[in-house]
Amino acid sequence: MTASLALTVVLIGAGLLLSLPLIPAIIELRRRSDAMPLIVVQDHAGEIRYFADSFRSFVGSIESVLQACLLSGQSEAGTMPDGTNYLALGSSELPKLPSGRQAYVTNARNRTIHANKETCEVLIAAAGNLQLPARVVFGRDIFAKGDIAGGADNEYRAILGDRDIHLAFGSTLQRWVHANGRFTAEAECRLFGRVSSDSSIQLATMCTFLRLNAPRVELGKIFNDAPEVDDSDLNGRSKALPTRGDAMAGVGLREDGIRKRLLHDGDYELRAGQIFNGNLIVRGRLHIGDGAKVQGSVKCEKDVLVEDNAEVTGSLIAEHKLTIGRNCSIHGPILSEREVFIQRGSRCGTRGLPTTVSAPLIFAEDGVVVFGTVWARELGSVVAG
Amino acid sequence: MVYALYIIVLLVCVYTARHYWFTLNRLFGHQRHPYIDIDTADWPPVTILVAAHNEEKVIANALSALMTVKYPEDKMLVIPVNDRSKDRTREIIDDFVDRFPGRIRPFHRTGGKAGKAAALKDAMELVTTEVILIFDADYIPGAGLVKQLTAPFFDPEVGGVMGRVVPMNCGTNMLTRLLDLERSGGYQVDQQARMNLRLVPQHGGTVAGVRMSALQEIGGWNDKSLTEDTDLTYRLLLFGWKTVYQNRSECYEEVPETWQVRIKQIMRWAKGHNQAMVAYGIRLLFGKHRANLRERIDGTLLLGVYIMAPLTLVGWVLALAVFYEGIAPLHGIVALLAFTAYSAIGNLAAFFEIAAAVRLDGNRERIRLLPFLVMGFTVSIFSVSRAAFTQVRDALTGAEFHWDKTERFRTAAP
Repeated sequence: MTASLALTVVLIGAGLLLSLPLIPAIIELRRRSDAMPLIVVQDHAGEIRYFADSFRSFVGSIESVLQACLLSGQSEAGTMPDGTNYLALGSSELPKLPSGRQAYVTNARNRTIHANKETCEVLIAAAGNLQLPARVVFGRDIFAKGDIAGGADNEYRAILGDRDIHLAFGSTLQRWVHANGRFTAEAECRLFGRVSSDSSIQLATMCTFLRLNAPRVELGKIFNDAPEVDDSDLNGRSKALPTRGDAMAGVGLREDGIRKRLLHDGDYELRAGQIFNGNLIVRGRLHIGDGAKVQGSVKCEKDVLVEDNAEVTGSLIAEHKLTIGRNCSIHGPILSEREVFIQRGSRCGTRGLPTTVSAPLIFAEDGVVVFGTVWARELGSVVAG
Repeated sequence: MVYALYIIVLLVCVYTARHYWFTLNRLFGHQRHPYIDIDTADWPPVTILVAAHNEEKVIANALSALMTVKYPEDKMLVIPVNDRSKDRTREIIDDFVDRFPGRIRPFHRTGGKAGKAAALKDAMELVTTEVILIFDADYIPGAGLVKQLTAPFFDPEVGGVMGRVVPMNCGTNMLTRLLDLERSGGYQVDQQARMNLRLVPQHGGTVAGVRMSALQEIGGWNDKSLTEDTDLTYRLLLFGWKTVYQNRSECYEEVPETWQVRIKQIMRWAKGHNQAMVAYGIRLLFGKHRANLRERIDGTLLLGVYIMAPLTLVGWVLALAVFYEGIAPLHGIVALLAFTAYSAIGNLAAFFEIAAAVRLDGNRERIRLLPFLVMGFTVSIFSVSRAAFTQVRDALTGAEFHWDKTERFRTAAP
C-alpha cells in the first residue's frame, strides 16, 4: 500500500467518522417529519367551561331522542356518532332489573380501586331530573336537562346539568362538572377536576378541590356575622374606614390617579387599625394588623399574616405562606406561591368585581366566600373553623 | 498574554456553568408560573401597541387576531403604531379602524427619528392606561394572550412582562428550523430558568407588557437604544421593578428565512445589547440601587452574552499564540487536558440546553438537527463579533447607529 493510498483511506475514514452524527440530521432535514410549529392554543383562553361547552355540543346530537323519551317517559339506548353508548332517560331514575340491581350497572372490574362499587359504562342523558343510585362508578359523562342528585360514595367522570347539581357524601369527581344552576357537595367529596356553576358553588366541610369557578363560591358552613362588601367600597371611595388605628400611612396617589408604591426592604408591620394608602411592596415578612386597611395592592416576598377584620382593596400577593384572618375582605386577586390559609368569614372579591384565589395549597375555613375563581394547583380543602 | 487568555477561559467556564445550571433547573427544579391562574378579575384597561414599519404583509393578521382576543372590549384599545410606512400599511390599518369602530385608534407617524423605540415614544401621547402591551406586526396573539400578559400587573412589584415567542414558519428551510431550536432553548429553558431562580428574565419588546407608571419613573422609552427591550429590562431593574416571564403565554412570530436577514437581525441585537452593557454594566454590578445580589450577578452576565463572541475569537488567537510561543508551563499536557475536558463538557452546554428545551416542548424528531447548530453558532459568533468591532469603530469615528428593520416573508394580505 502506497503512502498516498493510506493517507486517502485515513482521510475518508476520518470524514465518514465525522459525518456520522450528521446522518440523522440530514435524514430529518430531508424527511421533515417534525417541522411543524409548536402548537399554540389560539382559539380559547383555557376557560373553565371549555369541556362543558364541548360536551353540550356533543350531546346536542341526541336532542330529538331526549325529547321523545320525555314525552314517552321511557328510556332508550343507542350509540353516539363517535361510537359511545348512551342511555337516554325519560324519567328521573335509572331503570331497574327485576333482581333490583341497576340496569347498565355491572360489577366493578377492579375492586381494589372501586371497593366493591358497581360501574356504569354508558353515557347517561336525562330529559328531566336525574336521581342517581349510591356507590356506583360512572365511567362516562352524565347530562341532565333538570336537577341532578347523586348518591353517596359515587365516582363520576364528568357531569353537565342544565339546573342544580348535588353530590352526596363522599363522592369523587375525576374531570369536570358544570351546573347552570347551583352546585352543592356534601362533606368529604373529592373534586379533582374543574367545578363551575353559573349561579353558585357550595362545598361542605372536609371537601377537597382543585379548581372552582362561580359568581359565588361558599366554602363550608356560612355564618351571618361576616361583613358583606359593597362594590362601591373600593378604590379609595370608602365612606366607613376602620377607625381603631391612630395613623394614616402610605404614599398616596399620583396626580393621574395611579397609586404610588412603597418598596420596603426587610420586614414591615401595619399596625392594628392603621390605613395604608398606596401599593405596598415588602421584601421581608409582612404583618397587617387587626382592622388595618390597605387602599391599594400588596406584594410580599416572604410570609404574610393578615389579622382579623383587615381589608385590602387591591391584590394580595405573597411568595411564601399567606394567612388571612377572620372576617377579612380582600378585593383583588389573592396569590401565593406556597399556601393560602383563609380563616372563617373572610370574603374574597365582590359579586360585582369577582376575583381569583390561587396557590399550590389552599385551606379555607367554614364560612369563607369567594366571588369568582378558587384555583389550587395541588390541593384545596375546606376545613372546620 | 497568557493572563488575558486565562481570564477569557474563566469567563467561558462561567457561561458554561450558567448554561448547565439553567438547564438542570428547568429539568428538575421548581417551576414558577405565579400569575397564570388568574382567570377571573376586575381586568384593568389595557392599551396594545402594535409597532409597524412597512408591514403590509403581516399587519392584517395581527389586527385580526387582536380583535378576537378574549378581553373586555370596553377595556382594550389597540394602537397600531404606523412608523413612516411607504407601503399599504396605513391603508390596511385604516380599513380595520372602519371595521372596528372605537376599538382601534391609529397612530400614523410620518416623520421623526427612525427605530421602534422612537416610534413607541411618540405613540405614548395616545396612551392613558396603566397597562401597556406591545406586539410587533408579525405576531399573531391567541385568544387568551392579552389576559395572560395583563395578569402579572396585579402584582404591584411587576414593571414588565414577557411572553414566549414561537416561530410559525419553522419548517421553511434549514435556517428557520435552526432558529426554531434556538428560540426553544432561549425561552423554554433560559428565560424560564431565570424566572424560576428569581434572576433577570429579559424583556423582549414584543409579546410583552410594561407598566405605565414604571415606564414614566425610569424616564420612558430610550430612543437612542437599538434594542429598547434590553434597555428597558435594565432600567426597570435598577429602579426596583421586576420583569417576569410567562412561559405559557405563547405567541406565533415569523423568523428570518435567509441568512442575510438573520445576520442583520443578530447584529442589531448584539449592538443594542452592547449599548446596554456600556450604559448599565458597571452601575448594575457596583452601583447603589434596588436590585439584589443575584440580580446584579445574573444581570451582568446577561449583559455580557454578546461580548463573549468576540472574546472567544480573541481567546482562540491567544491560545494559538501561547501554544506556538511555548509560554505556558506544561502547556502541552494542560492544553490537551483542557481541550479534551471542554470538548466533552463545555461545548455541550448550549446543545444540552436546546435539547432539553425541545424535549420539554414534546418534540422528538427535530432534536436530530442539533449537529447543524454548529453552523448557526459559527455564523452568529462571526456576525456578533463583527457587530462589536464596527460598534467600536463607530464610537471612535462618531458615526450614528443605524436601525435595520427585519424583513418579512409572509405573502401580503389581500
